[in-house]
Amino acid sequence: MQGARRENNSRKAWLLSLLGIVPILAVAAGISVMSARRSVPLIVPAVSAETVLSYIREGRKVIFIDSRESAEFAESHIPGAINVSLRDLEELGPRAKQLLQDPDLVVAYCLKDFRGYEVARALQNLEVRDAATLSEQGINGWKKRGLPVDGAGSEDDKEAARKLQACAESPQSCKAPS
Amino acid sequence: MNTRTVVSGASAEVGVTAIVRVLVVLALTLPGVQWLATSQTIWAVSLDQLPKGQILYLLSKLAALYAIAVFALQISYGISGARARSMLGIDLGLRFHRALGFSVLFLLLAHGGLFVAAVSVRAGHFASQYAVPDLFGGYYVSRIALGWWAGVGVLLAMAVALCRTQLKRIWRFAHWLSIPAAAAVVVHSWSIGTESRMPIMLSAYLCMGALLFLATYLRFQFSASPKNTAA
Repeated sequence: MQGARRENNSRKAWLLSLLGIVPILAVAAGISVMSARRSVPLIVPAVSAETVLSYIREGRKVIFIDSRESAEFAESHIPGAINVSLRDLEELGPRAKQLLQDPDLVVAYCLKDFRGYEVARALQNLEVRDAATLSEQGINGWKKRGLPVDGAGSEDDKEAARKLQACAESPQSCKAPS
Repeated sequence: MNTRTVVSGASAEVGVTAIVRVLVVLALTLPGVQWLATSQTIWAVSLDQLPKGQILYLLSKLAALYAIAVFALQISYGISGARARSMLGIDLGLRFHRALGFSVLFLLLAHGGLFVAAVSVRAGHFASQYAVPDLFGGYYVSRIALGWWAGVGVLLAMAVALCRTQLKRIWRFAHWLSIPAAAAVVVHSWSIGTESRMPIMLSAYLCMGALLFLATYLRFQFSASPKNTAA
């Protein structure tokens, strides 16, 4: 009798635990719908790869900040990027602004730009103007766009940088095969 | 045993109980404080000004931070043993152990679910790349797979405990799966968690570690027999 009740209670707890996910996902869906009806500009602008390339072409100072872990950075990163996670940025504090030395554009990125957004927002709070994320959504979008990356298993620093400059000069030559 | 020994023993127990309570409160408070500290940049703006899925990502991180904290409490509670807990006056029974287990499962599911939802919302399609664990898919993907397997470990550890009448003695050994699952959770969070190596969360980890150490010490100190343990 007691065993049966205990089993029943366990089953209820399992159900409650699994059903608890339903309201969370409902809230998630609600938030998604709300963000789809966007009426105000993003607090951190998302710039396209085309804009970034035009800045490079015009000789303006673009700094890429890879906000991922160092092991991810070592695997691949945008040529010339520096590896600064949100954690590093907290340690750097106001010194970060001095280290960046008046850039024209700071592009913080990660895989899908969740961490990239956090770093860009933190940079804004440190009064770094022109901090942005990629509208292509991180390094994944950058690669899909056919743009070069640097790191283990890809070309060396100089070759990747040369390719990026070539892409900036002639963006059409770096279009990803559709 | 003279009166002085009894009194000093009792006051030591009161001291240990107080330490345990403080550590529990800190282990449960600090992850929230850390989350608020790193997410504070979003409070000044409206949801409309955030990129798609960002709020889901933040909520996913909150669930993760609390999954670690509750998991640490759960393991400490189980390891300490019923005898030590009742001696210290902090035994809340098997129901509490079970409730903590379901909370861990819920938080892990919420973390994974919200993360996949966040990536799906951002990408505009279901993030199927995270639906199947891939231990050899590069640094980030392999660490996500580790979190995935930790969830499976917790599910199995809970399932064997719930079927313990049918499984007889085996369930106890299989229930220890929660330990490698917890280790996988720690490696997952340490290697790719943004907050895991920040000072506030490090303090939380310290409290959780102290709780685990204390629980193990109490287990041996009171040499609880298997029948007296909740886990």
